[in-house]
Amino acid sequence: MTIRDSEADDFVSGYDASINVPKIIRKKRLTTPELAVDYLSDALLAGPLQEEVRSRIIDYMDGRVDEEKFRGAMWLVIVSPDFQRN
Amino acid sequence: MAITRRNFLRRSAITAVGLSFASPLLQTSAFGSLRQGRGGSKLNLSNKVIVAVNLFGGNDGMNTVIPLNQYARYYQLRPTIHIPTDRALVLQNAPDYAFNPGMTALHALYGQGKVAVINGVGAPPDAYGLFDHEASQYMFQSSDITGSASATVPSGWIGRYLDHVQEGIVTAGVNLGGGELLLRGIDREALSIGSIDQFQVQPGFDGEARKAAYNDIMAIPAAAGGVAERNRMLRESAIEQSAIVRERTAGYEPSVEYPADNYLGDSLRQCTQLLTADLGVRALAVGYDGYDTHASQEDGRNDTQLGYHSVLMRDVSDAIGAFQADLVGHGIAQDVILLVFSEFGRRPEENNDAGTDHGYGSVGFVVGETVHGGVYGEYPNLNEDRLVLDGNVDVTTDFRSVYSEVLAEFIGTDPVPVLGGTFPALGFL
Repeated sequence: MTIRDSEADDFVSGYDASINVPKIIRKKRLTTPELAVDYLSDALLAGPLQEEVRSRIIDYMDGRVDEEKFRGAMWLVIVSPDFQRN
Repeated sequence: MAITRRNFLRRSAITAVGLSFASPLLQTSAFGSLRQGRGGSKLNLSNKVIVAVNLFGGNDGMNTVIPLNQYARYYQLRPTIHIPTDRALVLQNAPDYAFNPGMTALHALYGQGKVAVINGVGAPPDAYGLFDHEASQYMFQSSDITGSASATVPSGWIGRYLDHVQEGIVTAGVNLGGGELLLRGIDREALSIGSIDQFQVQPGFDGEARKAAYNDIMAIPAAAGGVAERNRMLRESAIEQSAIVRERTAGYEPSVEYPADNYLGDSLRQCTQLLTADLGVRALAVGYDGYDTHASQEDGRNDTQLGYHSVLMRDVSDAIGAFQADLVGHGIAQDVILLVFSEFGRRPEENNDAGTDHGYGSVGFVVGETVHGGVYGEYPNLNEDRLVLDGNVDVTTDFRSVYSEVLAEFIGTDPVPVLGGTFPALGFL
């Protein structure tokens, strides 16, 4: 459990790492928190994100789709219980 | 890199080793089986506590306890890095031996009869993985000398004992960097944390908002009985426990001043903090690194300053001295025993880099109010014809004898189910 959380933090915190968030946001046209969370859910989960969890992550993004909120949403998806399902 | 589940999992797999308490993010390593053990008989309801101090890297026993009665041979083997006799701390009532000059605090405790020195401690010559750090750590933590269990699901010798103690508010075993395996049982996991303060969800960027969302998500039930729900409940439990630990330990005040800039001292201070909180902790593991002294072992030494290895021993000694005094100050010293061990010793002769290479027999310590202070076990003979395994210092005391005596005499439980055999007592308890 913790190893995954630690890895998730490393995975999303590395602003110098190879994940180019602005490029992904632009290329995938993730113009709203809903689109961003659905993209992350599809990319990272083997099954669907629970609706309540999805809503909470969208709320977390507070209407912003920028690098900070996108990385934060990515972390929340990875540490969510749904990630464990498959 | 694309954001994909596969990329994340592959990256995790590459770097997972050693991360259990390294991240500042969520320092809740393993509450895995908390309150979910297979049950079984509760063999021991005592309040006794084992604290294990793991000196990572293979501590040099010969420069930790100097054999004054073999000093000419010792000097011959170590013309550069020997400890001069005028700086060595001769043991009261045991003038054949002296402590490293950095070990003044432990020397004082020895004088008070609270330290058992275990000479020639190590594994049998046919043990799996001698001279190898990882295999030897596995051996000392698990007490398995065959290496066979490492291929399945290994457990630690203290963990197997903890499987049977009364459960408290948190897990009975808490690892503060001394080796998670040591405290891992067959039925129960131990808790591994970097520190008490870090035992909480601590997202870095966008911290408050992310933490609030995290807590909310963890409160949303998933499908009953599924993996996701079990995972959620474990996390929820960890968060709850971390809050209890921080709350219960907040009022702790050390009764003595711990040494400054001393990592082990800080770890042992937190041990006292956890023990005085009465959370049900029955074993703790702490560690100190830097003992793989292949080169420049006494670098920095002059007439007044200690060299590198001696500084390490000073740090350990000062930390234990403060810890012991703090336990006394809090009135719990009778219930705590502290073991100091390392995965192996060093070769008897210094190498060309003024260091020592991986060796065999070493020295261990048992410290506590209930210990019969003294020197136990035969100090290995350093003569060339008495060296073993390609010129190494012999092992005269099976490390499992120390464990066995602690379990039998201090804890009061049968060591055979834990260690898988009987081992002769040394008499330090």
